[in-house]
Amino acid sequence: MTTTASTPADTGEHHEHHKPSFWAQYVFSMDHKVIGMQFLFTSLIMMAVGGGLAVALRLRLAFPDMLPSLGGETYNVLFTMHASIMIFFVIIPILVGAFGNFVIPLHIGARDMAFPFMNGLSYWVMPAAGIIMLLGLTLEGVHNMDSLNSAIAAGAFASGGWTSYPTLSSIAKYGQSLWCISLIIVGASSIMGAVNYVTTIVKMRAPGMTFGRMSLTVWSIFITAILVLFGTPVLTSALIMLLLDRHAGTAFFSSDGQPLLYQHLFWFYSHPAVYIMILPGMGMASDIISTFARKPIFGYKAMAYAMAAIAGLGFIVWGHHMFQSGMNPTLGTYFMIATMFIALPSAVKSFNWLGTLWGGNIHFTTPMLHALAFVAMFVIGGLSGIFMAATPVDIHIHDTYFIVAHIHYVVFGGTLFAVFGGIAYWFPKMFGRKMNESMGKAHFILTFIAFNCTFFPMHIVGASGLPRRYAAYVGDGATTTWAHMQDWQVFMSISAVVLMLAQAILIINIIYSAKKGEKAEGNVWKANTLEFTDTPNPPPHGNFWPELPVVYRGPYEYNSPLVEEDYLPQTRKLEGDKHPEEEGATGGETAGDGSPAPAH
Amino acid sequence: MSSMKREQEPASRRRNGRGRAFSSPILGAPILSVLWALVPVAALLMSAVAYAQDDAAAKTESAAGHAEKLDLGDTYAEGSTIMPKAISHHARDIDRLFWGIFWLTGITFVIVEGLLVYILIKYRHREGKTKADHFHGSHKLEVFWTVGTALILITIAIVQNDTWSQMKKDVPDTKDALLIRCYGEQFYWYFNYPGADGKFEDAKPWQQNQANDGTKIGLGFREASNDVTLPGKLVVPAGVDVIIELNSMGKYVEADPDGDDPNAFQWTHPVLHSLFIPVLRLKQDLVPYNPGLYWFKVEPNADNGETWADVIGDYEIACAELCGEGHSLMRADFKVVAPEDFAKEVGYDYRTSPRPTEFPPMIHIRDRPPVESEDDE
Repeated sequence: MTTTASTPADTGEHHEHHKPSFWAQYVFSMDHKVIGMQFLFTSLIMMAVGGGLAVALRLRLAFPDMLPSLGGETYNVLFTMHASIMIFFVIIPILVGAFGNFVIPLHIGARDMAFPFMNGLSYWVMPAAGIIMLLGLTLEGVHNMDSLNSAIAAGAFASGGWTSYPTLSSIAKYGQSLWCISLIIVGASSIMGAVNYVTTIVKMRAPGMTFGRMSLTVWSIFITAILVLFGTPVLTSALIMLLLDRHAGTAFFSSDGQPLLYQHLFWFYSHPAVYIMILPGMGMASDIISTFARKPIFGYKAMAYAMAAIAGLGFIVWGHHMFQSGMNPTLGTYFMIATMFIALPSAVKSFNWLGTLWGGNIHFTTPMLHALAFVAMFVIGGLSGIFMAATPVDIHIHDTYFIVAHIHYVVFGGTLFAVFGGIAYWFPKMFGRKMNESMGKAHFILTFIAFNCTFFPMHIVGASGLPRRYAAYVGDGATTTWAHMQDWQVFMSISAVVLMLAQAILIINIIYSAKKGEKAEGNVWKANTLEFTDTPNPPPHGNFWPELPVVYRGPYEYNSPLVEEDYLPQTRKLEGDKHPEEEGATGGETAGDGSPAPAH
Repeated sequence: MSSMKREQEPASRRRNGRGRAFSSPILGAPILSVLWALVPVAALLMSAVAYAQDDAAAKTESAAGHAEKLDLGDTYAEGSTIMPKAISHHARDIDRLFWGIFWLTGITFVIVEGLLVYILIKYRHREGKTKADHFHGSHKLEVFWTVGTALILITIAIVQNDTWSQMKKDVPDTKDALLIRCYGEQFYWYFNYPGADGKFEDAKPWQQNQANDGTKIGLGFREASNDVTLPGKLVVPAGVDVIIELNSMGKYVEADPDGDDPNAFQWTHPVLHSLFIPVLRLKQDLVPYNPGLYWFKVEPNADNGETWADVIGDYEIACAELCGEGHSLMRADFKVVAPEDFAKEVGYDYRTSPRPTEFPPMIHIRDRPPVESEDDE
């Protein structure tokens, strides 16, 4: 845990606690901020692993002749592990685990999560799941390239894609079972987190923190947590059935069973999971954009409703992943219409972000640049989704690189930019220091350019029908239809290498700024939310001392005519503002009672 | 913003102590904003330039050194564009929809991103600017763009559903069409024709038999059968309705590679494949134990002055659903011939032979007779 050890040691000194041991403070801590940072840095390490796999497979596609050992089953392992790690060990934990944990109590004015022990547990099962997924490395004694190849030949790693459709996954070797077990455990981690978030948000808001005064980040994670609660058990049951098929001789998905049943169950979780992977990004981007445009968010209610609509519709569109499975065409029409409608709230959100920027006083800080990139790239990802929603067009582009481009524009161009923005935005709250702006901007510019160069051409090769999950498009026995696209492959792969290298700047910046960055003083961004206005940098254990803050208004009152400054904190009492208890409106039921300091 | 003014900024900021958090040491807002727009636009331009080249140029100029292996066949039309050639009515419908949506989303893209860049430049923070507007939204605007977007999306939905219905629901009667069974195995394609007797043999996906080239496959054809089974090659006559039945098939692998019995084979369960014919814009999964149907008719675009010669030729079939180790090698030839040349390729003339009127039902795996040998699990 070298990563969390870099936390400044002064956490906890702001109040009258005895100083806990290093292990209690940073490793087995139940403080939501420490757990959030554990999630964050674990995910960043996993991101390096997943990114390395991506670069390996991109290089194989560009130079198949030079890298023959990465073909066939090895290639299948590469993309399976890349997607599984990025989705289940990077994007979901970093959004829900890291930012959910770190931001929710600070934003709603709570001392900690509702269930601190379960919160710690939800983190600690995640590394366990990661180890199980990659257990083949140990079981087969992998220590060099040759032993890696023989481990892959022995089936030590899953190779059926992150979707792992039966019956390929029914007959795959033991790595597939490890994969299933790993995801069941990750699912348990998600569910524990989600229970915590929902409970905390419903029950532990500070006095005056009504639902209508919560930041959109909190709204987005609240809605995401509900998605997790409804969706994850379905995936877990599908994975258990798959395990039973593989080891107990059942036939849910093979021979007497129905292979398509798995696809339905899988996408019933995994389509909402796509929104789990983007909604918190939307929330964070909204907060950052409002702060640095120095303007109230445009259409706060519309934004919250749109997220709720996305969550609701998200559960009835899963079939659009299965248009080519031979489903009843009328059912296809239904899923097409539902899918068209889910584009609507996304469009509304994009327009609202533009409305927020309109008339603003826009400061191009590192967090803001990333949040703006989120909007710009999410628009592309959203628009390319319309091609897939149109059923006849989807026949041609289904399972091609067009889909790969789409998901990366949403999940990388969208979510990861929001994550980078979020890291820079809340960095002062994590380490008491600001991130270096020059390195932050250099990282942003390189990432933005390399990202577009890597993924935009995928739309073009995808439109020509280039199938995904192919180990090579040239060479012996390969298809010839797309051989003339090889130049694009080389271009995309080189861009992917640049993209990977650019992330080194981020790592250096995090380490450098955590130790030597400019000291963050007070309300660094001149923001309105509680973590900036009512806690020191970094906030102590228990966040708000000596008393919980009292909230008088929403979080986006920038450039309010009521005050001279261009911001108006949620907790600032103006003349005429009544204490929420006088008004009869309270926050969460247990909030504001001077709840005891949470356990370490 | 002049560079001189730029250099003065930090000093002036220190003086008045405002906006330090937002200082911008590397690049100012305008440069960043322009950069913003440049990348996607550059990528679009690059794509346009790349595809303005014709096939010949692409063949000879292949910098990656694959020129000698490059055999595009007839897949890309003269002066090829992004999409492969379209040789059926449905394929052209799909292309029209694709480009329709392309322009619709393209215009939306330009408007939204253009507006974003405009806003970023117009409302950027400048020296001395301390205030911004204060408003919380506009109910009218929300309604306007919600309804507007909904109308556009509903229009797309209605327009495209016609094509979907035509392709999926207006399937010609099996009596009037040429019936072909497609079998996918890890990692080969087989295409099964009824033969001169006009009868398909029963399909027992676990039985071991031989394709016409002697390859051992899992198809249950009796020796006396005159079914024609082409490995890795689909031949269809132009201008004829073709209905393909999609079957996934188990595979026989050597049960004992190091052992004494070279004839011991083990049957593995069938897996998902997807029949993908780019020139027909045709794609459908082969779901184990659940045969699917797909139909198409190869015909030239008469409106465009195309002739039959334009659609007859050699194309390619690919597998589009991950099926294991050899997924990317699972390709087949797709040959469109004139009706009179069909017999030369397949060995019987579908025009003079009786034709089956329907596909026989697949015999399900659960009806498999008791196993005979231990190797055959």
